[in-house]
Amino acid sequence: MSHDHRLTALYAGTLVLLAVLSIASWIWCRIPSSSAAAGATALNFQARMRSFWGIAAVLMAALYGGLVSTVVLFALLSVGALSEVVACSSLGTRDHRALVWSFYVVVPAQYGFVLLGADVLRLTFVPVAAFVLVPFLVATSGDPREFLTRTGTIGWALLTCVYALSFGPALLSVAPQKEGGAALLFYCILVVQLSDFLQYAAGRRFGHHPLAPTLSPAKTVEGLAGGMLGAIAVGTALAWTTPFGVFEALALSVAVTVAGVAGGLVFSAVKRAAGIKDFGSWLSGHGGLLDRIDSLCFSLPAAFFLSRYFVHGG
Amino acid sequence: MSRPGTLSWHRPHTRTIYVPLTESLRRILAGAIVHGLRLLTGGSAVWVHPRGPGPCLYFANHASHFDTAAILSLLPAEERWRTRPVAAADYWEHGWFRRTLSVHVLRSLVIARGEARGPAALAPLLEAVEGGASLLLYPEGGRHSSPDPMAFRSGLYELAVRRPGLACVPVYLSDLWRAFPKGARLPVPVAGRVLFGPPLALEPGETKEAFLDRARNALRVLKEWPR
Repeated sequence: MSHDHRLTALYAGTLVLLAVLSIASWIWCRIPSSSAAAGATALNFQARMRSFWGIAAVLMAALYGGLVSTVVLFALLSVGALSEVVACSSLGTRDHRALVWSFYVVVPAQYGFVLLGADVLRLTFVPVAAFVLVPFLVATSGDPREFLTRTGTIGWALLTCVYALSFGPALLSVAPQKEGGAALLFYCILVVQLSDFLQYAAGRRFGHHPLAPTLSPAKTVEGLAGGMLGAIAVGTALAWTTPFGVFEALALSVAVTVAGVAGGLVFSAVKRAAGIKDFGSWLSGHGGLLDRIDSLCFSLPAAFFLSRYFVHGG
Repeated sequence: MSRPGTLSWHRPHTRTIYVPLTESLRRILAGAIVHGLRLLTGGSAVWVHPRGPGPCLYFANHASHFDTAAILSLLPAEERWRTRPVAAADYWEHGWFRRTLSVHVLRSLVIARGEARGPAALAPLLEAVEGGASLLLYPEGGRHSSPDPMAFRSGLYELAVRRPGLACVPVYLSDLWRAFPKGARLPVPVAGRVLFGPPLALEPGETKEAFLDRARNALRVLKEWPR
């Protein structure tokens, strides 16, 4: 296990931030609220903070543990995300065989390639599975009805929930110093989550103009601007925790927040199409797993390719 | 019947293995199975109507072997340990593994399905209710890979007639039919929901068909429940 002072600094900063926000939420819940809606917002904020402690604990432990524990965590996230997409889709028992292959072969193989550092396989395997293996399994399922819908659903789910998320642990091997990878991954996740959180907070406080009312009624232009600017500012200020300079950190922060917003909107479209509000209910205050990591699914590939460009120049 | 803290040596049916199973060991085993399977399917509970204090009869649609674990794992601990699944004798008494799992570990009440049933077949169920147990029943009489509940068998009605005060709680398992459909060899972890609806009771003069229809419709209402 490495002792990376940058990772320690990021962990300490995150814990202090969580503590401050938790105390704020505790006080907020004890102030008599002006309306029932304000009281519900305060309770939701408190629930979100509680979940954030759990999320931070799991993430910090996995990243501190090194490559293997990070890969295992992301593999589990992929399984959970895939599971939530399948649950809200129109896939049925006729697609069971394709799903068995997705869960039992595609996920372990993809994270196996990450673990082995087999970069070419990691970058090509899931797209091939999505465009060749899944269509074959659906075509031979004995029921060709809605073929494109079914192959499209499973293939898209594999690309976003497995392929895209697997760029997280892949980021560990990008940093020039061997120890810098965990700090870089944590930095990216922190900026994306901060962007999400600040968008939610700024939207609640200053939001007036809906951003995409048909997709996500709670998102506002003010929230989007405040959240992204705040996250980019923090990301740039934390440039010293990355292997890069201030300009690169700024570009990385912009890329992951913009990609994160796109991810949030795309997964909102999935939810609206399925007629659901959240992907689940077990992550108190947030909803399901995908409600929390939707933006990461889009940010992590962006973070990987940009970091790789900074390190290797292409 | 095993009482908490006593050592129960299970009597052989035909040719069986003696399983020395203390109540605490049984609970550990049952808990591990129930929660382990729930981890795999990731079900979450939706209490459309708050659960009453007394024992009740849960009736649910049935698609996979995970259903019982999903429902039991989502009940409060105290209720979980007094809830006894009702299992089909022809399937769950077949072979020592299934029998140990259902009868000894999950304490299922095993009854014959359909025509094979004698007039006294429901006696163990009524006795268990009398003793303060809740029951978990699948009135479709088997597993079906369809989101819409099938026609109900008469067992639910017969129990409601014999115990008019018993609250019949509809439980709809959403998406779990995708996790482990009948005939599949491997389960997939598809996150599902378990919806607990408002209890039904047999109304005076209600016919068997009317009551079973009402019960089935209660599941359909839960099926359409917004997320």
